[in-house]
Amino acid sequence: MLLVLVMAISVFIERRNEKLTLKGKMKIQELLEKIKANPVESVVSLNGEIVTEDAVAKDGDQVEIFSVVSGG
Amino acid sequence: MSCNNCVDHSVYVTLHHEKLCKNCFIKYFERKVHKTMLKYKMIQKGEKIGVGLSGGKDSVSCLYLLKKFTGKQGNEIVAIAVDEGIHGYRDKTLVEAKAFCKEQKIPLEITSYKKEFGFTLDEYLRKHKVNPCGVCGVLRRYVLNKAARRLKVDKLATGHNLDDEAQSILMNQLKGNIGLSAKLGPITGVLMHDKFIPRLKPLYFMTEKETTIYSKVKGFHVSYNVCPNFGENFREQVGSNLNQLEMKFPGTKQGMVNSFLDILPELRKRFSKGQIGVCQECGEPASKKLCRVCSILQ
Repeated sequence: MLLVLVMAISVFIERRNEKLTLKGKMKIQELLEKIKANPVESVVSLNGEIVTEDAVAKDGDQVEIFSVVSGG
Repeated sequence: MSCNNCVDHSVYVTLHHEKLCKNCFIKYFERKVHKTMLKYKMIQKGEKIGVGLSGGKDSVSCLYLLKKFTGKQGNEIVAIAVDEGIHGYRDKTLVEAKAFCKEQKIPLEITSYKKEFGFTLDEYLRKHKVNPCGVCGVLRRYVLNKAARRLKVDKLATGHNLDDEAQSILMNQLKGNIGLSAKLGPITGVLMHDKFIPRLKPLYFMTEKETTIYSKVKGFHVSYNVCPNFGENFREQVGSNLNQLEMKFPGTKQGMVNSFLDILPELRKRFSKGQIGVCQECGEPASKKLCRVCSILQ
């Protein structure tokens, strides 16, 4: 049996309760552009640590995107 | 990616392109809030301060910092939470609020619409087709003010931030309610009244993003849930448009609030004529025969 382990960036968008995967290596800034999230309204955690938009996510990383808009 | 002051990775970049790690960001945030409190002489020695607490990032950060900055000068701090009666939302955020107050050893007073008006917001909205946020905001301010007076607090602090203020300024401008903007500012109010507790906004110059990062790096267990009544209302639209501008032109919100503060003294002079009376129905402060709450409830 051949086990293929697919490596990707795993992204969780908290406000939309949405999970997705992205392939490759990219800056958080590009990642936010891809999912159409405004960086002014987003706080990003990379493998559990808050990071700035110039941090780089790569295959195997866990990215969480939190909305800063309170809504209440 | 590294902090400008040390070797740790950055969590935030300021408007002046300064990269800050977790510890340097905490110092930056706390220094800025403290400076705001001192600049506007928000709190005097011996005053009792009430803090409106929802259990969200803004009010929790505000409460934590007020306790931190006033601890040495002996101010008494009390948290005041309002249970509007929003099933599946406020009941959850109140759990966070209670836990935070217990951990920080801060007394917490919980009041509610049910106690004050005899109905929950959910019950009210089932019977009335209204803008929930508009009604809820008026009722909440009323209940908070009454609770603050009952607790004999001298001032009431809230977690309003730079984003909230920029939105309010623009909303009043767009709706032609410039007189309402005279009530804004780091310390609110134009006309004073014995029954109206002055409001403070220690987070006035902090953006919503900064407050979110602060509460996360401090490890506060706060609720990031969204109220089920929050939808595409006017405030949300204005906030979203402002954030689009902020993305393209960083510093937009800061510039707007700074410009507003320049003209605020003139606005207050212009709109300080007249008097605050009392509502004929409930006896609470009102600028007309009936306060806004009694008008809504009629």
